[in-house]
Amino acid sequence: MLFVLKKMFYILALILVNLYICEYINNKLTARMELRRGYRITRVRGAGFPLVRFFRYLSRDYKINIWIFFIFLLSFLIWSAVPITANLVLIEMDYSLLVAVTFYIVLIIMLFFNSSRSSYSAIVSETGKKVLILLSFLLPVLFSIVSIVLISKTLSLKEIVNSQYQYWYIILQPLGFITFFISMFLQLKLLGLSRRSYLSTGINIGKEGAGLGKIIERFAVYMIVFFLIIILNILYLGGWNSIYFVRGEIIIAIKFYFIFVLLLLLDKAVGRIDNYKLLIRINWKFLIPVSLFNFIITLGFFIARNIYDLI
Amino acid sequence: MLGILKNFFIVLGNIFRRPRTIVYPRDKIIIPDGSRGVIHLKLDLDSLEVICNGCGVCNIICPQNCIDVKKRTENNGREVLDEFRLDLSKCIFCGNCIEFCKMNAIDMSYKYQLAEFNRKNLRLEKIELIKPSSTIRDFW
Repeated sequence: MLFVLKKMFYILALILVNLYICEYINNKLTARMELRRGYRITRVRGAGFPLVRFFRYLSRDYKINIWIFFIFLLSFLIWSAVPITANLVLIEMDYSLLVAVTFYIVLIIMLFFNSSRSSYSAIVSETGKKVLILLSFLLPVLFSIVSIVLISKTLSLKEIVNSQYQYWYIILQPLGFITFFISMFLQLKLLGLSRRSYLSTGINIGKEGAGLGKIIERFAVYMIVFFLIIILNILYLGGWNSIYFVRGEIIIAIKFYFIFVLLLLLDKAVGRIDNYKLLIRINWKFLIPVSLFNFIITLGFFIARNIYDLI
Repeated sequence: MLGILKNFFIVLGNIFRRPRTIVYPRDKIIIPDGSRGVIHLKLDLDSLEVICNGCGVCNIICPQNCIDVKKRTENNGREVLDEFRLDLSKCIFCGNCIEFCKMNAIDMSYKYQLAEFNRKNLRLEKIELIKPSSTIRDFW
């Protein structure tokens, strides 16, 4: 029992520290990309910014609904199945990939339910539209994941990482990686990494967005970002496999922050997407066909190798 | 796709560039050339007298009516400037007075920090407008 509590504490501490750093990087780097200096209310180059923002949101009055509790719970529950490093996983399962993806889908749906509290019908409809597109973006992700499962022949995330000790799956599945990355980026674009494009508020930031509910919603979005980056790391980039003498924990941290900064850069480079039809077109005319093609090729290789022993 | 790639490298480059914004009281920048500050009455360098003869064109042309000019005639019949008042609370720094001055007796200084607690301090007299120190282009 104590062992589990210790692990939970470590995971919580890791999440909170990463959250603080990522929020700071998000503020500072996006400001620098726009040739601004960023938020500077505190000394030491605005290092206290995430804390200040947290208390600013907390100080506003807000009515909490039931979905906020579920969102908060699910944001933590995701990490019960996803291993952050080799030993830092709460429940070791043979089908952790399946559980993690299920948690992710439920969390997105919960975010939509949460937005239904709003008295502005425009916000509810816009969020509903965004969430539906988000769910459609899961199709290429699922095709890519199934391709990886076919190669590694397992549903356990830990074993998928262990099977990459020789070479990363990005070498075997470049198309899968590209579709996964693009769909992940567009999902994050819809969820809102930058300030003016939150999922439930969107352009109506002035009308809504305060109180504890907003903090938890933002927290959930960050958890989704972390989850997707970690999953990308595990599936394609070797996870916590050590390179030469560098420890696996350091390697995964470097990869995590590299992808996070890359996503921030791309987020600024692409700009705000209000044209949802464009997103749908990208999804159905590029991402899904390419990922399906990749899946069929992988399936062909799988059948030829494991059933007919041709390769 | 190419546009996104181009934007990506611009954004990446911006991280290493110096930010355009400054933290005002601590960091300062040089005033841009041709900036408009408080108007300054020019002096004749030989006689050290004001060039302005108080014709009052600036008073007429001013859209905010913030300049008040009075002239007097000396014993030898020469018209000279008696009073020159500028109300900074009204002035919009349009520069019309400088453009229309026939004697070329006024120009704009770079004096820019004009906040005051008392409104009376915004009414500048002739002596204050003659001061040459404020015409130097400086940091702000």
